[in-house]
Amino acid sequence: MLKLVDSKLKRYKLLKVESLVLDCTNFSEFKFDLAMELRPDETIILNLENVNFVDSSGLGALISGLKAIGNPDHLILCGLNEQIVELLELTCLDKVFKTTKDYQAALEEVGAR
Amino acid sequence: MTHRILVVDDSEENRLMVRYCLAADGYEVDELDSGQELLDLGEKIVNFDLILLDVMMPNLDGFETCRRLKNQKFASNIPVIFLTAETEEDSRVSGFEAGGIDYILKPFGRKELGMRVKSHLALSRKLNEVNSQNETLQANLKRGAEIQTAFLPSKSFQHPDFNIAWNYQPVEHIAGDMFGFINFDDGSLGVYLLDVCGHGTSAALVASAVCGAITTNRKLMGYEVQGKYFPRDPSEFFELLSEHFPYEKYESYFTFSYVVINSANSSITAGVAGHPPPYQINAFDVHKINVVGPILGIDLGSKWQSQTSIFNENDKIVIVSDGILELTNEHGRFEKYMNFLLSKYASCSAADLVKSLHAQINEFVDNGEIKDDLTIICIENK
Repeated sequence: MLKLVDSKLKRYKLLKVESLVLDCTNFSEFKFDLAMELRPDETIILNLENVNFVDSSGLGALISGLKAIGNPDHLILCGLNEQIVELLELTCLDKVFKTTKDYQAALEEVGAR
Repeated sequence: MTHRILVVDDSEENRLMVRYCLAADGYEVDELDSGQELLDLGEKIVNFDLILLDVMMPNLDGFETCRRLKNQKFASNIPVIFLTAETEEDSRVSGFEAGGIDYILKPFGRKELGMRVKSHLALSRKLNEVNSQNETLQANLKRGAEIQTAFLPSKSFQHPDFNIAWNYQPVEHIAGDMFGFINFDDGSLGVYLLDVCGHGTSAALVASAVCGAITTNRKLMGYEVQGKYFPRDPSEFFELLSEHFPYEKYESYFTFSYVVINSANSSITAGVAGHPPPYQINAFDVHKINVVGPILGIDLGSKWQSQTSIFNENDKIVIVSDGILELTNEHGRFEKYMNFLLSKYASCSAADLVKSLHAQINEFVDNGEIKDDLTIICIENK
């Protein structure tokens, strides 16, 4: 469920989440797919613009992803809709996950543009 | 394990032919000479592992026999193979429609009959295994739910100062949502709702572990002074709990909604950890208590808050799990109706409020799928 859109070796990977939801039905698949993409010292940009609902299982998967990556600066979430932003604020994880409005801003952050 | 095959054919010659074909494979073969006799067997049919059914029979043909047989629940799993000389496709299709799973064209060879029978017996065995495993799983889940329920407050829980009502609806038998009431020696009542991420078995196990810890390790929620037990501030409680249950422990986070209410000094102190705050209903309005805090288990550096406000006679607190607020239908999220509904039920008893809210939820979902545990707790200051 992760499409590799763009990447630069040892710098970043831009992955688009292809599913409409990230929830109890597919969080395991997401965790697994994300784990496959991780490389040391590479920043992962996750484009969630297609995703319109994340539940607690989905959030758990994102947290697991963050833990697997280790350095919170190496994960950027972008394209977040209102529901996801609210969820991050409710759980105070908006202070933990790096987020940008869209993938272009994220690419700028990693110096790709 | 010997398989028992039943052959139903009005012709003795044909029945002997089948017997001869299957003899070498070690099956026990039984015979009947009409469809009616097959139906007359009733539930004894489950003694057989497979039925070979001739189509062309007088009075009751094979298809009609099969149709009537399959109408009975106890016969639904037994495989029926038709023996037919009929080469017309339409006719064979009728066989499948009648509930048969295969057909063999006459005249058939010994090997062909043997292979088909073997193949269908294997399939049937697998299906029965799966059904049986599923039944065991369901029974285990039900049992798990009974045990988990033992952690929850008894239905007769009472407090002299408060009317208490709740509705607890796990999406599977066992739940990631749990809740509890704690009595303190200063007359306070602690009410908490715990929501582990996800639902199902793993969430239920984590929820039970946390509930168990809160109940047995009294130092988490309160502290003792001269033998009396007093409530901690919610923010303190959350810090301790978070230390005890870091994310790495179960690869799981959980959220908490917690209030400590005291009738004598008309106060309510509320704290949340990653969970929507409770609603407070007082004489003038309905509002969400203004408090926020991070989920438990992740060390975020940011701390938990608590909020103390007035809790008068007849005021109510309503705690709902996030599964309820997140319910969505074509009109949007259920959350946006909460203020309106709680205003409507403001003067109901706690029990009626819970009942009405639950009814509204069912109406909102309207046969749609409920994907999360739903819990409603209402406390009214008497």
